[in-house]
Amino acid sequence: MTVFHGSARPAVGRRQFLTWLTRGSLMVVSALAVGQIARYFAFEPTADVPTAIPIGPPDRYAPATLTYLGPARAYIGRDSAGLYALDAVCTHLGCLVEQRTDGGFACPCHDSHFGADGQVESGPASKALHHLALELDQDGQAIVDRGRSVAPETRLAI
Amino acid sequence: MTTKRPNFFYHLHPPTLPARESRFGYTFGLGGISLLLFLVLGVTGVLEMFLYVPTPAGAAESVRQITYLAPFGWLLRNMHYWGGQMMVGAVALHMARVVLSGGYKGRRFNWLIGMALLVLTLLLDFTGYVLRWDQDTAIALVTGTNLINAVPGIGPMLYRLVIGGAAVGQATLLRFYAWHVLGLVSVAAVLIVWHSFRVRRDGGISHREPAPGPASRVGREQLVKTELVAALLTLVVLVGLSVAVDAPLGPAADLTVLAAELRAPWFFLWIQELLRSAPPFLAGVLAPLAVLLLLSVLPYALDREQAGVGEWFNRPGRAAQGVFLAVLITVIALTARGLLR
Ligand code: HEM
Ligand code: FES
Repeated sequence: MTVFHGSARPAVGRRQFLTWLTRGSLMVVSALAVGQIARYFAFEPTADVPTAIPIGPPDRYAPATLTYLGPARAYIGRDSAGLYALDAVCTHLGCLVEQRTDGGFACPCHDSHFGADGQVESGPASKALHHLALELDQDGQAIVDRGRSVAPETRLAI
Repeated sequence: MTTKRPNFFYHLHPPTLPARESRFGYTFGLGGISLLLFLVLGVTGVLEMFLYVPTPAGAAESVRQITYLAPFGWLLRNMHYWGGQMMVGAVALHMARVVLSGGYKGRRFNWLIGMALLVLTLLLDFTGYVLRWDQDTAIALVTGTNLINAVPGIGPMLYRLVIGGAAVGQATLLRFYAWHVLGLVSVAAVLIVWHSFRVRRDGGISHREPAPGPASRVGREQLVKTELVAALLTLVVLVGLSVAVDAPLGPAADLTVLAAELRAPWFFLWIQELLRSAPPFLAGVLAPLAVLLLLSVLPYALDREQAGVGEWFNRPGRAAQGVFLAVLITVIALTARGLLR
């Protein structure tokens, strides 16, 4: 411990030091509290929704058709090569695109247009609509996996 | 002088005030009207909480019950809805008055508190709109929150913090509910008190100095009377609108259904218009932030003069007024384009 004698005064007085100590600890405590509140907010009470959605037997979809399936939020199409699932969620900000009469898609939110294969025709969207993975389960039911995109030419052979 | 003991409302004001600046024709009572609407929203909002159910399955149905079954529930809900819309308008007009009459001069800090209140009012209106949970509001929620995803780097993390999960759902509605009825409201309440306190601290309403001619002053009773009239007129308009026009309510939100025409709420239509032609991060995040930043720095960057305070379209403040009007006109023009679509 340092002892100061006579008129020798420390550069930082006791009061000054205590003030700094108080302010400093208040700041540290507040920073910790804010950090913990952020962690509290990051806690997610509900489990993530399952990404695999069963869509029935593949032969339910007639050749050369395109069907919108609400639960999968995707258009299920069938062409000569097989079945494919085109995500209806617009790559711009997430509205659901609608089918135009010529087979392409238009988004009602900011007017993006996409071709029948999902490629962007006009913005503001800059990415093509996703093609979602399709597979068969043990019972021969088709499953769309919203969590996985595949190359546009991928087909589930029927 | 009155011999009655001054009541609470008198205490909000100094004993005497400059005559010119206390007239309705100077402030149009816009700050007070915003405060009154906030209080009305608090009362009607708390009453709505007794019937409102913040779950995706129950929300729209409970709003329907408030509207069609609960006695006078329609009036309550309409007053809450129209109060919210009027508050956005009143706050914006209040700002316009402050800029155009040089009211920010020498009170820059209170201008910043005012900016925060503008943002809070918009957030309150948006979170409230989402609570309705019908088809329109759900889409506004999906696109609005997806903008957060467009922020480079921290976007996806922030998104999950706001949404409470990987996709919009139960957790999202509950979070927006908590923000709407308590989180944002408490912050706004504290700032409103602070804002009003600063006005008195800064010497009451801003006024010309030195005023030409003998400085005439009026007692605060006079101002309180003017405020009473303004409050009554506001309530007449609010109740009138609420009786005449019902707040919208569509079918319960179903995020799997294709919808034909989708529109942002009116106070964000200008952003929706920008989003049509520019990348999301630029149009939906940077542009609104730039507008807020520009407005915030008006008294710091464009007009640091004390001269011209209290004077409509004063000369030293021309640049600030010009920038403000340019921003306002752009926002109004974009909104009009969105409305006319
Ligand atoms: C002060 C306390 C407040 C409380 C407790 C509160 C509570 C509520 C509740 C429970 C709802 C859901 C019922 C409904 O949708 O009608 C709601 C909706 C709403 N709130 Fe608030 N609110 C408050 C303040 C505000 C403020 C300050 C604003 C706007 C600036 C606002 C704007 C809205 C809007 C626009 C809706 C949707 C109305 C509708 O579509 O019917 N609220 N609020
Ligand atoms: S969400 Fe589809 S164009 Fe914006």
